[in-house]
Amino acid sequence: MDDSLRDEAAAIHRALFGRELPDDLARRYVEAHAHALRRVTDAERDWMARARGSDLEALEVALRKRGGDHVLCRKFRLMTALSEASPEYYDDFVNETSRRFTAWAALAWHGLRSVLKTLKGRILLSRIGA
Amino acid sequence: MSHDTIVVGSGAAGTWAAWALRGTRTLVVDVGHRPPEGRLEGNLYDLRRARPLYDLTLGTRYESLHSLENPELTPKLKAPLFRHVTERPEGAPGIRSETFQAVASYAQGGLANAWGAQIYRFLKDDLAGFPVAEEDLAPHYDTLTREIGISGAQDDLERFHGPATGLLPPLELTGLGRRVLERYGESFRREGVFMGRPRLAVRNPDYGNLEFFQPRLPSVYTPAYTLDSMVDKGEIEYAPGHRVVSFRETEDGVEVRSTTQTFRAKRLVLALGALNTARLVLASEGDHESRLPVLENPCSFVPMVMLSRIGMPLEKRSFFAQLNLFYSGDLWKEPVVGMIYGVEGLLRSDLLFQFPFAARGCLAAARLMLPAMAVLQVFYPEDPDPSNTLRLGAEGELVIEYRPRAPGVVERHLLRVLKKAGLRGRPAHLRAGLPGASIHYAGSLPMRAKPVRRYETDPTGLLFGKRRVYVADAATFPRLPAKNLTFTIMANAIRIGEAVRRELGR
Repeated sequence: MDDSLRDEAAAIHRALFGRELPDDLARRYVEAHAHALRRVTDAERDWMARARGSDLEALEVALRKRGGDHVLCRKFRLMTALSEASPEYYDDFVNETSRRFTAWAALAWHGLRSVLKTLKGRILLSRIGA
Repeated sequence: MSHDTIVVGSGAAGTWAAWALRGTRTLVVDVGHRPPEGRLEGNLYDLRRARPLYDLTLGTRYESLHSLENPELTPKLKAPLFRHVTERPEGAPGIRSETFQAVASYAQGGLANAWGAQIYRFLKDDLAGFPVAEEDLAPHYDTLTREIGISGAQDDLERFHGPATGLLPPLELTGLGRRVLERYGESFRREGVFMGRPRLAVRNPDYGNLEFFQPRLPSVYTPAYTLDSMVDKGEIEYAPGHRVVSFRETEDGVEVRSTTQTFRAKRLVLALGALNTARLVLASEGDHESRLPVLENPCSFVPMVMLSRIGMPLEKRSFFAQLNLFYSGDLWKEPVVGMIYGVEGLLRSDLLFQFPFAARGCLAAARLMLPAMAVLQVFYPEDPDPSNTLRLGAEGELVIEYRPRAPGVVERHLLRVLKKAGLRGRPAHLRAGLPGASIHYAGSLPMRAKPVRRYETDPTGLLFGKRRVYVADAATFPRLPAKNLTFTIMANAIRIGEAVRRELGR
């Protein structure tokens, strides 16, 4: 169980930050999951297993835009909350320098990328179900 | 008789009723949960950069993450160090409702431990329907202004806020707040929108953005400070650790029964908050049938962004309450209150997935857009509605029925007007708070000039049919204007405490 949660944590972390998951955060993900996500059902576990290896970022945005409260969206929120409490992630969340011009370019890029990810997510959902 | 007066509850009402009774033999009784020992000092961002904050932002058992699966608490109430504010003592009955998200406190200082420190006087129009005039409350507002220290300014909001005498200087604005205020002017007033600095029970102008994580910040007033001070000076007695379950009048006084002890006094002042005071009264009467009115301010939230500030660096030392506004015009029959809050003090992870991007885009938006963002919160006034009631359930729990109302009319107008100040928000992003979300509860034992039925109170707070039992909290408010009620709870509690004191002197 721990190993599969660690694998899941690593995949979500890669989707969010594009880098490998540190051991400490993996341990905390497993711990926090036991406390904060107690109502994960067998069907939701099966879904997570089906989604393994897929583009989780694409699935998450497609599910979020459908509304509701999908287990994958909750797991992304869990990972985000944990990483924000760690100083190693400070710069991922906080900008302390003026980036007024690059900001617009970055947001435009992410806007376009998000449209593509949403489309990809919808296609993936049509294959593995929601 | 060991005491002249027992005050049940130590929140805004109980503390200030006790304050008015200083010098008599006054005992304050409550459960009295206190904050845990952990303490954050400094600036939230400096702390976050320096060390892991799992325990202090998420909790030793990740308890603040329970909101992933449960109804959302406010950001402040879900913070680990604020859990004591809403922690229910073992055996205490709960509150049951399908539509009303009720919050009750058993903490020393009550719900005001987690308040936003917003200070509003109820003026003449706000008190329509109250058997109390502006002049009755004004001296107590003045006293409180001196005692607790209130920051603010003399500006366009004086007609809504009341006199600016005795105020401390206003708090520092963020760049966004300054920009909005610079652009405010006649064109806003023509649209019925009036804007200015909030009045806040906040002293120190240098903030660490810790107000969502650290209770009892020295700069932010809470009634617990006044209670502690009175106890330290020997002006009152305080008995925490007691959950009061019933009271009854005797030949020569009152008897108050807690889960562990019985107290006796000449007079009783109930100050548990509008919900728990009503519960205690109904439980003491053994009444599971009566339905009492309940009021709360419908509220809503909408995010706004100032495009010119996207990509600006984060400002790390501002209090979250930036600007207040009032709408007074044809769209609503009486003034509607708005606040513009900064989001600097919140965790990014609480807001991140509200952005319409994929996850990495949400992270980028949090970095680049949040310094350009603010939240408009709007409160509406509320009158009694026969659909909105509370009663005592079979197990002693409160059962609340409340008809949800959909705000939106005034918010759309405010968003249109705020565009002139560079703040852009979309009505589609408007989110109505669930009934109960305002945590402004009132009206369960309404005050009447001449009470005629059970569960009404007279202008001195005396409960109908009783000779020695007074209600000092917002249960007595017969209606709610849109303004935050805490300052008026305190002023009214002083007024009622003085009435009790006069009775003791007879």
